[in-house]
Amino acid sequence: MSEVTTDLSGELVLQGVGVSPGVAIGEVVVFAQEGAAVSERVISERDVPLEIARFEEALIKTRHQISELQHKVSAELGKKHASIFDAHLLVVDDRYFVEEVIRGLRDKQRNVEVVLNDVAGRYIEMLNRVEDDYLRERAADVRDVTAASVKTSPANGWTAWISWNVPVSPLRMTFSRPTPPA
Amino acid sequence: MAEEKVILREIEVLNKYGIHARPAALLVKTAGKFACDIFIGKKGEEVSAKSIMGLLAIEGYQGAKLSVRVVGIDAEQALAEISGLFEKKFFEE
Repeated sequence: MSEVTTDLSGELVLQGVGVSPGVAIGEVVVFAQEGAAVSERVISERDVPLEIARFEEALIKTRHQISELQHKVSAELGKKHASIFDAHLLVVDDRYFVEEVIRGLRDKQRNVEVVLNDVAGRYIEMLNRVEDDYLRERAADVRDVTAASVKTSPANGWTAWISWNVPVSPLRMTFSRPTPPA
Repeated sequence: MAEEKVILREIEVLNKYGIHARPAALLVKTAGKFACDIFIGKKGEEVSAKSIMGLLAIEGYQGAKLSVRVVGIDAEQALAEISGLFEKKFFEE
């Protein structure tokens, strides 16, 4: 979403792609939080298991968050609507994706946020090459589970954002703070 | 040791929206019930039907012809269920 104008009353006009028909009036909640881009850290071979542990911890937390959200949506809107989160849960359970990140940690010896961004970036690239216009336009469903960007949240440790282009909360993958060098 | 069964089949994507998140999730959940390996391929590239990220990247739009390769002891049952999902258009229409 991009800012268009700010008028004299201080009202901000934003332009973006509509995800639901109609007009809604209410308090605006901005999901995309600002943060500095994550910095790349070289890790030693000895620290690889620690980074893997941080990744696994983040996956467990994320799984828990999605499950909670799914239960909430199921209770409020019904099981059918909540089933969209099945896909999101399957991303954190995707053995191939997870193993690719772990392999990347071993090969590149960089912090997990950077490796995760690289792996997700490759999937995004693949999706961008899709020839069929219609499927490409299904980005709402496709990119939500792949478009990952990593940002830092100084108060809460590192946070990887997996952006959702669907009208739900973004998937936030929070990593514990890295262990300071001994 | 019993010989590993390998079955190959071509399947067409029939549903209007192709393999987007919901059908991909259905495929992964179905594939996960079986011990065999299930690979979905297009243009010589294969991904595991147990990986949602792989399935989303396979360009499975409507009309796409995908190869399905199933390897393992319960290959026949797995293929029947996977083909069924495609034939039933992933219960979308």
